[in-house]
Amino acid sequence: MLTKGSGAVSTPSTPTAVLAMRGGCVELGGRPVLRGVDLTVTERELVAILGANGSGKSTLVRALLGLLTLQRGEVELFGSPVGRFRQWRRIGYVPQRTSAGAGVPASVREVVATGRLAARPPLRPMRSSDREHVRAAIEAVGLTDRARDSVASLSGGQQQRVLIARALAGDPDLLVLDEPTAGVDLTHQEALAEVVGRLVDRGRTIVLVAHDMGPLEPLIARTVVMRDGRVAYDGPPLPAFQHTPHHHHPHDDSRRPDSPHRVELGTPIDRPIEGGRPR
Amino acid sequence: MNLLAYDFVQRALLAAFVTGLAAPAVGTYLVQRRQALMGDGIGHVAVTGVAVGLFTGSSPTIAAVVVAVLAAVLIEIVRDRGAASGDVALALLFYGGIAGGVLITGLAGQNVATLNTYLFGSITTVAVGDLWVTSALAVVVVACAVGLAPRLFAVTQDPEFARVAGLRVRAYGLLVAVLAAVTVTVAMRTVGLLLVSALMVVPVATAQQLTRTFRDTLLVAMVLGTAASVGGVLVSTTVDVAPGATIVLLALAGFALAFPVGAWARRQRRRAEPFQPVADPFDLADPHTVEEHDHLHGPECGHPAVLHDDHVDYIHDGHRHAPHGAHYDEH
Repeated sequence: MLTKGSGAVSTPSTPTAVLAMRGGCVELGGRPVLRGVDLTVTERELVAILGANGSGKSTLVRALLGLLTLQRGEVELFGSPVGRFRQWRRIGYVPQRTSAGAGVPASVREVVATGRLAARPPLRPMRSSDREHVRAAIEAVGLTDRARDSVASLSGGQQQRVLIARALAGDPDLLVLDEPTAGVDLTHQEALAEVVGRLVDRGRTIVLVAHDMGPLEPLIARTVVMRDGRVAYDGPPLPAFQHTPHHHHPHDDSRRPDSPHRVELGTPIDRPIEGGRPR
Repeated sequence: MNLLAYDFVQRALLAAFVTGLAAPAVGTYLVQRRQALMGDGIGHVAVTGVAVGLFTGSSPTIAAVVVAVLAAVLIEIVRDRGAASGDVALALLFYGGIAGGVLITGLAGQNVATLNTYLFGSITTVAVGDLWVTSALAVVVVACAVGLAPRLFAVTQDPEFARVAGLRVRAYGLLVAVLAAVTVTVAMRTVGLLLVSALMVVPVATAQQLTRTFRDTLLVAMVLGTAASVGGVLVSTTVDVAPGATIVLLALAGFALAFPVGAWARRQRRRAEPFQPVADPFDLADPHTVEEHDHLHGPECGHPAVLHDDHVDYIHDGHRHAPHGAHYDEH
């Protein structure tokens, strides 16, 4: 049992399950976005959640983190039902970047430091260990020289790296990244892949939502492909999702469902997966 | 010219001091949440509170605190629900508040002059009892706004992330709303309910011209707010002008001075920025330009044509070409 101190809240599905969703259904604005999703992520796994826009990837991770309520089904984090989960410091979350900027200025260091809050008692100043984690997280994403600058003055890719550093600062056991490489240039995607690789080596669990895997590809042993709110494929990466040699144009239509170029996944996509279908 | 020796001037200065400190402290979080006009709205609703106080013969300040807090909680609930009509709901609340206030004041047999002292402030008539209430409330507001700054910052900056960090986002949101309501009533006697929002927002807007961090913005805004309110009272003791309006105009003058400085600093910073190598999206690894081809692909060229969504590709040396400006895209 690795759920340190979680108490006898409930019986975890598997001893090492970090994230578990069973029969998860989510409606947004009356439209079903997740339709009976079963997903279990166990410790030390690196899972990439792939799929087209609107396939339910982000909704899935937001539901897994308790940010969205399930209409049906259940979610467990580290063996506790999400509603009763309290060890939030074990989770690091990189949300999809929203337009930062407006509002009051905030420095890179201040934003990254909010990643330590789950580990800090209220009304207490930062300890030196907190400062060290913040410093190391900023260094890991290569923003040390911008640490005192306002986040709004950074480019989109740099802001994305600030959000990654914020999640790293909490030194989480589970890192959930929602499209972390969107707008990040290749050099820094590679740097991110290195950071993720180190976390995997240290036994952390990583769930990654992505359009394409980029430099993270060699690290990924398991992919979950979402389609129309269901898990269409769950298993080792398929070569179909790797870059095809003639795909070097921003106009990427290979994954549009109606495109004649749509990459075929073979049988798994249309075949019910064990227990993966709604009733 | 020793007006400062008068008790009422000293009371006015103290009231101005605590208001100037508290209003921008809360205002910083409101600006962060893009609710710069929230203080204005609560101020409108507080008019009803004042009127209820006058009508029932109880303290208008206490009644205003109660009504303002209720209104702030209601606004926060509407906001939290994220209802599409939230904006309209707020407008209804605000106008209902001010109209109700004027109506009830009339019923209370008071004339508009009484209400005016709350609408536009009447700092020189602050009684000792009022001063105590105001100061105590201001101390609470400043203590929360500064003491809980790391958490309030996280919650207002990125509520979703804060939730996953285990922070009670809803509770902190309510706290900000309640602090705003309390501040409105604190500032009621200083700048008045109609101008209170200015003292909450203008010093913050001024501060962020000059600062790069949240902490600096909060502290500089509090200093600027205090300077404007104390300065406004001092000016109005020497020149016969309304203190509330003077305070707000001084705060705005500060913004007018800071804005060019901020704009200049931002330009300098942008100039210092090294050039980033920009990847040209049209710089393909294997570019074919139209000129390189001995013909334009077209129905007559003999290359097999393939319908591809909204355009036609031509199969050429084992790959597909789609004409795009002066080159061919590879599909």
